[in-house]
Amino acid sequence: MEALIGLGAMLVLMALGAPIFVALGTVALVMLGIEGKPLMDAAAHSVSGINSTTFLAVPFFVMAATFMQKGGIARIIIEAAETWVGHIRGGLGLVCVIATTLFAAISGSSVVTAMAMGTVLIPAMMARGYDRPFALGLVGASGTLGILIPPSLSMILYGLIAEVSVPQLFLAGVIPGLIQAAILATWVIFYSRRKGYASGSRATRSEFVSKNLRALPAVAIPLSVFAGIYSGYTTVTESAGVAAVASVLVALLVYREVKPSEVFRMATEAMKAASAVTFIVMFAMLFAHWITGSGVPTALVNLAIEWDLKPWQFLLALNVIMIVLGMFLDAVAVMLIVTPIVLPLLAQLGINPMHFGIVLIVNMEIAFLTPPIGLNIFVLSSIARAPMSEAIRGMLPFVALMALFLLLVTYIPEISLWLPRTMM
Amino acid sequence: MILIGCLIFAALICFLGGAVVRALAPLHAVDWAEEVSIYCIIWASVLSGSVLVAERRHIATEVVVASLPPRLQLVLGWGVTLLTIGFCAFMALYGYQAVDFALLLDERSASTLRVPQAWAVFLALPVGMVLILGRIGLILLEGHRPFGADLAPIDAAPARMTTGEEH
Amino acid sequence: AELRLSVETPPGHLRNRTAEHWAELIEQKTEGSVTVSIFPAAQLYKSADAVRALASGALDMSIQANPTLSQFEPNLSVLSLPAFYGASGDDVLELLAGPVGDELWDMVGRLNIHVPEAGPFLYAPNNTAYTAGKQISSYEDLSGVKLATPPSPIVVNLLKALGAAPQATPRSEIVLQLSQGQIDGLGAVTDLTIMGGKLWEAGIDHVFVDNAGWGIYIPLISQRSLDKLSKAEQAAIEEAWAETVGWAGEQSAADRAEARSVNESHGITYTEATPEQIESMKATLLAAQADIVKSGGMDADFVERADAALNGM
Ligand code: NA
Ligand code: NA
Repeated sequence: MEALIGLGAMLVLMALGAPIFVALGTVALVMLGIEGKPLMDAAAHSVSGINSTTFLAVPFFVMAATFMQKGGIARIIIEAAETWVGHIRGGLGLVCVIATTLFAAISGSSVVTAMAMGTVLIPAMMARGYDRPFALGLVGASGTLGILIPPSLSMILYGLIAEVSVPQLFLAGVIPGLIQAAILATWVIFYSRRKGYASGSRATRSEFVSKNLRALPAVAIPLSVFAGIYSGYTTVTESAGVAAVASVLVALLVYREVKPSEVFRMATEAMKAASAVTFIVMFAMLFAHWITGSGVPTALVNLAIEWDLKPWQFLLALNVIMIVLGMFLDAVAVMLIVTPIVLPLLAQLGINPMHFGIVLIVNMEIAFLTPPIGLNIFVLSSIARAPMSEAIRGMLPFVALMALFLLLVTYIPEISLWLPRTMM
Repeated sequence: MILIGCLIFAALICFLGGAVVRALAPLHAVDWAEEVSIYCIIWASVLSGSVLVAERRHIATEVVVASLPPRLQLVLGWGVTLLTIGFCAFMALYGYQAVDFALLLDERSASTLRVPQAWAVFLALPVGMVLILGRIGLILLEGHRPFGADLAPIDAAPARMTTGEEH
Repeated sequence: AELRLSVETPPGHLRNRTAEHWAELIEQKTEGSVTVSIFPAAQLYKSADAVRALASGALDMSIQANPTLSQFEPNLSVLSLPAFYGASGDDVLELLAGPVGDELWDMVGRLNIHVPEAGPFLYAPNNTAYTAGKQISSYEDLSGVKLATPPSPIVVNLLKALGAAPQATPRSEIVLQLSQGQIDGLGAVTDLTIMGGKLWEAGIDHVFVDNAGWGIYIPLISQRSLDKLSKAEQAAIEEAWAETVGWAGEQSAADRAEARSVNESHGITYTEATPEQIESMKATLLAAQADIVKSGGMDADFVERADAALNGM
């Protein structure tokens, strides 16, 4: 009951236009206060939430993204990618899907992927006359690939909790990731036809060569980052740092679109963009802390267990619960709540924990896109300086596509299990 | 402003420096490079909070508000401003208590630096909140309204940034 | 009263099973007037946060390992010092049941956290080196070996003093770095760490077994929460733990035996340190230990008392 009141209050505050961190924080603070908890613990908890290596990667990747965008790197990559698919209708949308899929192989987080790609691609798509909600939705949905295509911070966390081998889990995400990219690409082509977005002209042979050559130093940034991670030379967070430094250097020395005097100001700007999200994350975690302690999420999952469902019913019910939880909670909180409760049941129902891991990850992807609390929505409306309503409107068709994709992954375990079984 | 930029560079240098040492001279590897860069980022984040207020860049939902009559939008904007002031004031207070408590417990980091967590981590929250309150005060003194979903973000033009009062 | 117990480990882990056992007995003994809900897998609090929350009364109960608690009470690192290498589990339990233990729990009491009378139970002994493709059969072999270590100033400084190259590697990166040869192995972890992470898949194939300090699990109750209960309820919680601790000890011994046999069945070779090796290492490290104790914020007199008590056994 208290949980419902709290949720309702949070929604009302948000609807009335309170800054999101204030809406989340106020409700958490008041509810914890009613429960008689010492509130200095709430304060400590909110800062403690960002005291982690994972968060370190966020400003670094944003910094890389800022320099990629302002330093002309992104434009050059996009121009090169266009020589490949630009002549197809909706070519820039396809460039978005392809580039984001590649970037997801560097970044382990959904928010960072959406941020990095969004800063570059949203202005580009709008310059080509795409409507903004569609651009926001496409980047948001593609961005979630960050946690499905390895490396993935969420998979690492799940692997730790569920005691599933992380390298195998990584492999399990590859094919679902490619399928998601294919679904998004198909939708882009369909939507662009309907909207009649212009297609570019086919590049001449000399254009093709010169644009791709010019893009080589730019492409080397993600490639070096990728090589660093997969050779084990750099951790994911280190690779974020490397990406930041590399994009500063390439923008400064190779393409020379950034003056040395601008470097400092641009880094500051990147830090500010990252902070707008950090503030929300801090208090989203505090909110999740309160709601977890209230026992509601646990009760929901226990209910599904009590009904003694068959595996397919169980997975369906669980998916519905996770989507609902994912609307209100941060994606990581969804995982932390559901995994420990469900884990003991998997063996009983004959569900492979690696398969379940992928189902969970796809649910987390959806949680990033669903209102009222969806980090990709926040991030993209912040980057594009677009009203949140527009971002939400843009996400909805993609949420439907992702739900379809979720059914696919849920009921065809082989999509996830085939690659790790074959490779390891 | 300058501090925010310095902190992100400090974080970057410290973090990558630690990684380079670890790769090239593992015997001299330190176990605190990452920890220190996290501190820099935490501080940079909370310090950015007040700048974001000045530029009206804290994210809010405007879906519902946009459809309301202008008069009501104005009232709601002031309501949200009051709520934010209240929230930040309480957070500053409880954040201060948390600093005090961490000092009492003498909580240290897990690295060989054994950094007191009160100063490195917990102090960031009350400081950030007080800066936000200060910034709100300045905006109110100028006779403007700091919050409200009906207000558009203000672009940080270079001219504004140099006079941006922040340190 | 409804109490909340938070642990970082997932359901099925020894720590969680112990918590469930404890909770059940508490409910039985108080005839339901005290109920305990368990929040696993750091749903509610990460490790250091849990200790702080216990101290403030935001959290009621937890079961914590000694290294986590040493971020607040450095003297709990005493079990990781060379003086304790090679000690048997029984020795450690006996020591902690005596005046040294009383002193330690009083120090924890300073945090406003109560440790039940029946005390902690053993988890597993750490071993100095679990390595991939590199057999360690003496402390000399450690020279320059890159070992991922748990975050603990005492352990990092000790490994440095032993000539190894301790690396602060996030747990999530260990598998990747191992399989790419960026690190040679793991330092100061247990057989259960290896089994839990299936680290043979990442190449771990040798252990240098030297009992480098015992990991223990300590039951913790917030003093503030305890004070809100009746005397009878408080007594029931103590009794319930007293009946749990023996059960947990047996379970943990079984887990340890299982971990070793599983690891061995996956081709991991165990090389036992000889008592002579351990003695000579202790002698060489004696000087270094004093510095480590000081820089780690520990009380040298207390360490001396603990050392004397252990070696007087
Ligand atoms: Na990824
Ligand atoms: Na959501």
